[in-house]
Amino acid sequence: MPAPSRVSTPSASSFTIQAWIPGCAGHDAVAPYEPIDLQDTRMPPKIHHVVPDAAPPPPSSLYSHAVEANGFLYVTGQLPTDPDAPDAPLVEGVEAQAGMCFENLRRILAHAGYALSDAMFVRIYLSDFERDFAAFNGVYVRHFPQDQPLPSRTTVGVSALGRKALVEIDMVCFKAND
Amino acid sequence: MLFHMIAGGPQPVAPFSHAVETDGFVFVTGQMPDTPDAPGVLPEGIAAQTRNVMANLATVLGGLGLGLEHVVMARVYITRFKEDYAEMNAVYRSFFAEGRLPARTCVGVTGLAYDALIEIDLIARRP
Repeated sequence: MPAPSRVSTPSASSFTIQAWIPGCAGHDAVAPYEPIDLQDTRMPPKIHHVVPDAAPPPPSSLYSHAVEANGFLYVTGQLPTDPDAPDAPLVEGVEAQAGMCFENLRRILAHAGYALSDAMFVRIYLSDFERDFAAFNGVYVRHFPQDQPLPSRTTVGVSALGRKALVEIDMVCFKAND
Repeated sequence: MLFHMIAGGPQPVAPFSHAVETDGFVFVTGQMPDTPDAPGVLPEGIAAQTRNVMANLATVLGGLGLGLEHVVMARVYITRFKEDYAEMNAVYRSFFAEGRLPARTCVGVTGLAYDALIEIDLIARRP
């Protein structure tokens, strides 16, 4: 891997880099501009995981199953597609569908060398929040037992999901480098 | 990996940690517009609900020795996008210093816990 390009030296005292991008849409007509600092000597290679035994992306939706960088694994939102029969109709009901989402997530994490216990943050999207929130939580605790540390989490109702699914789940995981 | 539950923090509405931290990054669970003293009780209107959400987020961050100034990314979920977007923005902005706004995504959603009008989750960076 080539060394990261170094365009300037960051000050040791500040940990954030505030950058306004000229010509980009902004909320203020006039914004202060500071140069972007691209130096990050920790910058690792990214790994794009495509998982043979997880539900494949549909032709209309191009993505990696997960992208890994610096110990973090960002996992694409998984639908309740049966990974062993991707063309079959979706299973019925939010509980069965949530179980199928978790099966896809498990296979993706296993492929990348992670486990559900490495999950830091989970986002859940429900097509019928009011009806399905409690039932979904019943499935969720089977995959994240309440006597174990729980990931941070956000759950929202949405107007539509791919394949008219009732639920989709994405997550961010972390594992210290070996 | 550190799984944080903040003493005196907001009452969880579902199975989650208040925040999970690793490698200097802190992922904060989406916070609701209730208060730690009255779980599930929400004030009327987007302005008051936004203030409560921000206060709960600040409470969680505060329990970790952090503040809203350490937020790098926020996701804002609102159930009445057209009606509430502008008023939410005015309140949201007041919690951040000039020129120090986090990166952000805001989307309209069809439902939130407690029938809330707003929920916000965060990624913060420990200095």
